Amino acid sequence: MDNAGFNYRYRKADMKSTWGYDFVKNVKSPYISLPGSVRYRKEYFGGILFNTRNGTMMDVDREAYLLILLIQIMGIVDVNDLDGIWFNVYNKHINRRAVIKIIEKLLAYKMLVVMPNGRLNKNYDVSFNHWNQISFDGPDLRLISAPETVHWAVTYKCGWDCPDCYVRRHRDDITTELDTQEALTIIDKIADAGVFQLAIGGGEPLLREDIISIVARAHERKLIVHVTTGRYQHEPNALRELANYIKSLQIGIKQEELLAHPENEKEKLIRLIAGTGELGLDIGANLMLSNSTLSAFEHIIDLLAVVGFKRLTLLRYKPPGDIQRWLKEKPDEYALLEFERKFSKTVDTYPDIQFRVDCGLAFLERTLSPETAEAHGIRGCTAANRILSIAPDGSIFPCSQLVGQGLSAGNLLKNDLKDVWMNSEILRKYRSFRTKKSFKNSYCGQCAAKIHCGGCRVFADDALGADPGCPEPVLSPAKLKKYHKEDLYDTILDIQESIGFTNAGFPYASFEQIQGWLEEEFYPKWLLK
Amino acid sequence: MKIISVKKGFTSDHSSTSYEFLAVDKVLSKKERQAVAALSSRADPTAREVSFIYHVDGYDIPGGWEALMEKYYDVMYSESYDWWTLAIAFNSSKGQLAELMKYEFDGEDDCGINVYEQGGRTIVEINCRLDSYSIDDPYDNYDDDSDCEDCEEDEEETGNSFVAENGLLNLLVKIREQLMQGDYRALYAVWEKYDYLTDDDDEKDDEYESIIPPKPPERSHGKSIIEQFSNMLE
Repeated sequence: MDNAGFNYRYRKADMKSTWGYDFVKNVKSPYISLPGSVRYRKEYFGGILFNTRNGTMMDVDREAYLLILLIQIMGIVDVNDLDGIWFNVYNKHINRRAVIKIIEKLLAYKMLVVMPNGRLNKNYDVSFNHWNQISFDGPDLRLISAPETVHWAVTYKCGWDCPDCYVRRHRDDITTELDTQEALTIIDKIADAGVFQLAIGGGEPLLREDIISIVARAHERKLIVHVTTGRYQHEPNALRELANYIKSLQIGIKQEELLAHPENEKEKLIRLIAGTGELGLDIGANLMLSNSTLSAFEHIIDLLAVVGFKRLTLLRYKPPGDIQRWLKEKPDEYALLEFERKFSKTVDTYPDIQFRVDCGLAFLERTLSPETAEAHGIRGCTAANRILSIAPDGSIFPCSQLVGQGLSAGNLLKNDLKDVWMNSEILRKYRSFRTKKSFKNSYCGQCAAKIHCGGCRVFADDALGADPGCPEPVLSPAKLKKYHKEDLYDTILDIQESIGFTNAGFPYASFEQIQGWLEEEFYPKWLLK
Repeated sequence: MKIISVKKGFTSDHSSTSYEFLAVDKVLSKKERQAVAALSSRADPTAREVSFIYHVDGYDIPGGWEALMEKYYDVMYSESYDWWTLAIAFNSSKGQLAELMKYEFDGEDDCGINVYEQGGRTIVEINCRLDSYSIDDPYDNYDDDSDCEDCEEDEEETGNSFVAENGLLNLLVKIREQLMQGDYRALYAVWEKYDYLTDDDDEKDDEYESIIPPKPPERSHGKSIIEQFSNMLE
């Protein structure tokens, strides 16, 4: 055994926090272990670690994953022995610097824990001599072994009938929903496949009378469960029961109500946040960015901050069933760019709030370098790649927006999830959309952010190609011209010129009128079928 | 052996992207400080220094750090998930810019050097991994007059005598002095550390063609600075 070791015991413990080594203070012993709260899954690139307490997801390469496996097999490991253990198992020396760096990071993200009073297994020496050549026999397909997260709309029923709800589009396609037994079967299949998280939504999922049975089974099967609801008011006992099984409750904000009756709505939300807080339930809010929302964005955020939300997820406005509504509420490119400016300021103004954006707003991260995006796990559209969606009847879709005829990959009641995941043509098509001609030849496909953004497929006319709503793809000037992404303002002026002006010099068609004509073309054609 | 990505989960943690800027050649005027402060409500620029911190993925200084180096500051470091960017800005001749550009490279693990001219200033950007344990403690003779209301009137250009509170910024100030004097040993040290050809790993990219920068002459003066800097690189 090499006892030269890493000398964790002698490390300085007073480093400045800004340098990111705070956790060193907590390194009270050299004994490390994998906490029970961390789940890990072997993948073609190495593995995924998932911290079930805070939801952090980490991709590690093969060698790092082997390190995790070693620690898992050993139970508790003295870091000073890792050199010897590694040599014993792999018959080569370990890269100490790399190991130290990784262990530090794993500790920081609580993927590993220090056992301050750790006692090594009695047979510690024997056990690490015993393990021979843990080979990496992970699958080598360029596809992770199962979705990280499954989004399940347990019902499309809802008492609210909000005009902007995208579910309005799907109601005619999916008319049935699973009974309790079927729902439990589905949960078992999801858990058996190795999925980490189950995001339950609707419709209004809390309308299902068996919702507690559903979340209880998911919890029992070690899935981390999140529920999205439009309900602000809950029976205390029902909320308590729900809190036993779910990790977080996400509230769909009804912004029109909030703006119309702020005091009344605030009071309800304050009570709800207090109630969930007492139960230790993590709570956040979803805010859909329609034109109405954007026109009062700062005010709405302020109201949500005042009531006490610490996590706000902003959702891009997706096509509802009603085209007129879409034309009225869909933010145009200028509105999105203006929002981007506002959002940057808002993030700065509310440092205590964790702001998140949905994948439809991935263009907000377009200026990141691909390396930075990868390091932060920012992947843009991950439909059928990291996520999967289940409709109320058990049908499988690439994502909760891509629901409809021709998009179903099967039904979880009849099919095996792993089998569908690995072999479905539809899922294959979506996870490889970046390689398709319709995408590659579009400005999305030419954009510098094509890997970590890629736009949102729901906006594409063929539900696969470019996202026509992106306000500012990162293109060279020549490509910008090629893809007609130059200033819309100039385009409108050109149209006005071609239509002509009255003798008094007024254009026959107003700016807004022409803008309306142009935007009308943006309603995704695949949704018109 | 590496961590490919970290995606933060449903509860916030304290990971962040942070920046530390320092003006060496001159202090910032009130107007300039106001302009810097306008970039972030939490930024509180002194006459010489400013810090920024971002807790949200993907959010960064509006306009980027480069603009601040172009207009106001002379050295900067940034840390994000253990990736570090060190930046040094100064005025140089076209000839010196060309000399510095010979040290540009893209090395392993996203580390390397970029040199470019922006707004008439030469900016040297070093992307690296740092072992922060080897960074010295703050200097005692800190002389930032940040609390002085009238400092911009009182304080003239102090040239190279300035010493900041922050150990890494100080080191960058010293490296900057060396670069300005045509001593490029620090850049060579970065190349030695991260260039593929110098990697002792078995897996080398056969297709990679390294451009070897000129090796700076040995000097005794400032050797400890280079040693300190080299030891910090991981």
